[in-house]
Amino acid sequence: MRISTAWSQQLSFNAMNSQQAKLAKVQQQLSSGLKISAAAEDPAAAARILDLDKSITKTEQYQSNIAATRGRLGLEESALEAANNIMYSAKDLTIQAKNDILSSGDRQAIKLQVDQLLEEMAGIANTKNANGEYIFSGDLATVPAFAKNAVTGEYVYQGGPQQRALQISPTRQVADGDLGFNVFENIDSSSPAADENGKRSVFNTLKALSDGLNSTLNPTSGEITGDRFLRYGLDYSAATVQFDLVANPGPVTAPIDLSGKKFAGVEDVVTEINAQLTAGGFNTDIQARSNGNRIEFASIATPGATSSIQINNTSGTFLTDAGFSNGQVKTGVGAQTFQNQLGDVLADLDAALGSILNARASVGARMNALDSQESQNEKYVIDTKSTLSDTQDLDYADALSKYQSQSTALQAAQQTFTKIKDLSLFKYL
Amino acid sequence: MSGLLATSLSGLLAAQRSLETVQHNISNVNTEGYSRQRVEQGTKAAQFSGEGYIGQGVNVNNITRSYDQFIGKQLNSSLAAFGDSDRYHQLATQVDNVMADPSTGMAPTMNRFFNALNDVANDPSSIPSRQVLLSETGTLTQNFNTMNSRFEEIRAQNNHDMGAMVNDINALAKSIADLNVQISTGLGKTQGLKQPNDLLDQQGALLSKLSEIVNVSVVPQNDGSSNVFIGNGQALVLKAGVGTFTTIQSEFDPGRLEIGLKTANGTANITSQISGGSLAGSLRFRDEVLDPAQQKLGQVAAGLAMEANALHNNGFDLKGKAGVDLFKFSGAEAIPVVQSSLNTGNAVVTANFQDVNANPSAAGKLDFSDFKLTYVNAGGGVDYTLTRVRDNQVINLTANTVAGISTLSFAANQPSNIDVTALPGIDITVDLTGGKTISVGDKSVIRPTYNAAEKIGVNIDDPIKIAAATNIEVDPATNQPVLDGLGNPVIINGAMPNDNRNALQLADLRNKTSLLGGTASFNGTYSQIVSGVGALTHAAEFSASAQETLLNQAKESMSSLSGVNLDEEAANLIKFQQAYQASAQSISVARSLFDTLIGAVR
Repeated sequence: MRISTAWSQQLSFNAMNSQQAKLAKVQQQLSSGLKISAAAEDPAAAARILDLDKSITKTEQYQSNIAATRGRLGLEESALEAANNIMYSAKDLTIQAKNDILSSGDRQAIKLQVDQLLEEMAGIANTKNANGEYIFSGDLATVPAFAKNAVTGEYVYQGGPQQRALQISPTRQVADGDLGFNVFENIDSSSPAADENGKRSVFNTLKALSDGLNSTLNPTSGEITGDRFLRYGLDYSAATVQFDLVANPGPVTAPIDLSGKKFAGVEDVVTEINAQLTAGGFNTDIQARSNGNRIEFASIATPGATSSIQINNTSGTFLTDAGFSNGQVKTGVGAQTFQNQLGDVLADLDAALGSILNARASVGARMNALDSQESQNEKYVIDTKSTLSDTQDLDYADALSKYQSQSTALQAAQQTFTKIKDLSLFKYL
Repeated sequence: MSGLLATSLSGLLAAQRSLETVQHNISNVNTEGYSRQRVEQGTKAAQFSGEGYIGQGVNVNNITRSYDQFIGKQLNSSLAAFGDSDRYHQLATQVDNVMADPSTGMAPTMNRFFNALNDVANDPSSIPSRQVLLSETGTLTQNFNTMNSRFEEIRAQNNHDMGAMVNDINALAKSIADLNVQISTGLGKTQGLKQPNDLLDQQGALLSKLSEIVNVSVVPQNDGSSNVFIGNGQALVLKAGVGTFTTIQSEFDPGRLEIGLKTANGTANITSQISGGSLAGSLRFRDEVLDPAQQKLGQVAAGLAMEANALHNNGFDLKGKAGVDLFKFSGAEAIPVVQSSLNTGNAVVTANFQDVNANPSAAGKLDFSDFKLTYVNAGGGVDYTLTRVRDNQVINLTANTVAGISTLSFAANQPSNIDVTALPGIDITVDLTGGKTISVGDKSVIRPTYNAAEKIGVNIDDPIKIAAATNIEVDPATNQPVLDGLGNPVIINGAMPNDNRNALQLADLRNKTSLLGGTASFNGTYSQIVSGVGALTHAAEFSASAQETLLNQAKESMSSLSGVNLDEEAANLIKFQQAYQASAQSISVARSLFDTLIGAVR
């Protein structure tokens, strides 16, 4: 067949072009270290690389979440350990104080120690982390978990109602702390001085111990506490809200009307109700107080077994909003004997110890969960990275040998061109 | 005796012609479209004498070119096919590079965005981590914008190229028509017997150039001219007459160019008839790669904004205020609606993205296609039809008109075999207030995803406004939400600075399969776009290299037939040189014979 001169030259150019393109491709692979640089070279692999990258960044984020959780749980663990030691000291002191042969001076000496323990306990419950967050305050970590009520002198929980959780795997969340409410306040009690739910906080237990040692064996007043979070107040600007507080003996019925009013915080509600009680002349019988983020009512005229307080709804939603039930009633109890009071204190200290131990056990379990999830995540990252490497990283040995053969092929094409160019009949004319 | 001289002279002349032709061939060895020429020689009519017929030498009958119409046609169609797939491949590679580039690709920024959300969940009261989230959100939206503007740049470049190609077509058509005149004149001079070879070659080269841009069919005429047609018989060149190509703007989108042919009756839209050549490659690239990639990117942007905004609106910020939109992405301007210029009514059609809080699957129902809304008023609850432009799937819509505002909803009465079972993640209303009218046949095009990636932005600039909290009150002892009298969770109406539950839900959008009918995550949808474009580019690369092979084969057969081989010409040079020398020698012999005779007589 005829070969035209221009076409034979074109063929040589084409050959050199294609060899050069292949060489440039290998060169690019060698300099980037990547098998593919554009999705077109292997669309399925390109999508897989994006997916694998996503899995790796996501899992690495879970790893850093785990590290953050572990740091916080570690801090909580050491706080709980200190609380544990305080409980043991308090128990020792209680058992010591129950000894009848002690003089009132000896008891005063023990009381001073107990007061010290109480302050220490409050300090522990208000532990802050490096970010300045109160670790037992839940989702309201900007305020101390426990604050002393100015009226009653009791420590009350004022943190948030919810514990923050962190994501440590696509499907697993772990709480990075515990609510002070659950650890220190909501503790089962067999004492008559327990609240209407049968609970007494570790602070109140220690206070009862201190009071007993001081021979202040007071009867308790009837007290009811709403169990709803009222920190940010109530808005009744467009609602009719009325309820009655009934105090016995008497009975004295105090009607309260909050209709058309708006309150920015729980203290505002307390102030308004106390103002209405004063206006109606009930303030010597009934008192409203804030208990951290909640509201409580007490009959204060004659504290003791016969004194009770009751709440009755007349209209509106106050009872639901504040966490009372209609007709809820609580009767106070008379003064206990020294031995009974300390006996109950001892039982409640055991319950509190149990609550702190439970929290410690739960922290330990979560730490274990973090460890096992961390190693799972780590394994996953390593496996995924190796898959990613198989998918996107260059096999240098293969690429280098390809580079060799490509450059040889290019040289061959160039040499062929120069040789063929010389083959011309005109040279012989 | 005189016959002897004349015969030699004819040989001399023929050899001279042949040598000239050989030289012509050698000179044009690199001329594009040149076909080698040959001198066709024949014996002169013999002289009859008593002894018989005496040969009178050689005649130059014709100078012909080695050309085969069939091979020429094959070359042109190969050129068109290669021009198409090569252009398509080049453009698709640009999109492919934009999407796979790790510095501009969406995947890494999306990962960083979700990681920043996780960091806010870890430490919801920390202003620095909120600030990081805001800047990562900014980077994400900017990346959406940047990628969209890269697509727009490619579109503008493609439009510009299409305009240039149309100008080339017109210039080539003019030259072909001019050559038609010259060729028919040249052929006419010889009563149609001798072909103007070089003019025909020039015209062939122009037709090849034209074929690279658009596939044409060439019909040779008896007078040597060539008529050129496009598509199914749109005349581009008829002898000396030339049709004019032009670019026209699409009815619904001024940024979309279509191809028109100016005729006596106005401009005919022949876009659908453009089949081969780089022009078809440009059109195919736009329809198959660029538009879907841009729309699907918009689908990811719109879906992300819908889902994240819905969650963010449910949450509460660091100050305890209800969350506002995280992404700037709402209102009528987010979805462009283009009304046809042919509409006779003046009703205003608007479309809005559905609220995910009200329609949980709204983001999943989003479709990357444009939609055409037509007023049909067909009765039976079928007031409008909505056509999904990408596959012409039609659904019926019912209008519920209150105070002049028609709200369109999925009609009870639907065509059979539809795979759209609800509105595609958007709400459509038609404003007929103030005496506005709509006529049957009025059309609007709704483009939910087309420029969503361009429109997306960050709505908040204050890190405090990031709604990381849900403020749902829980009972601390049981960790269960507190319910109000109606069984709904109670919301705390104040700041819960360490509540991270909404941030956790936002971060979990990374894993949520909220797009493509609830089958794909945002990252997953994006990697589908990347692999989709990659696959198209990959296929285009294969088809371009296959077409190149076919083109090379056609070029090879063409050059094998028509191309100049210098060795062959060198051999011919020698051959005709020898013939010339021999003829000259025989003249010299004739002269000496004559001299001998004169001498003998003297």
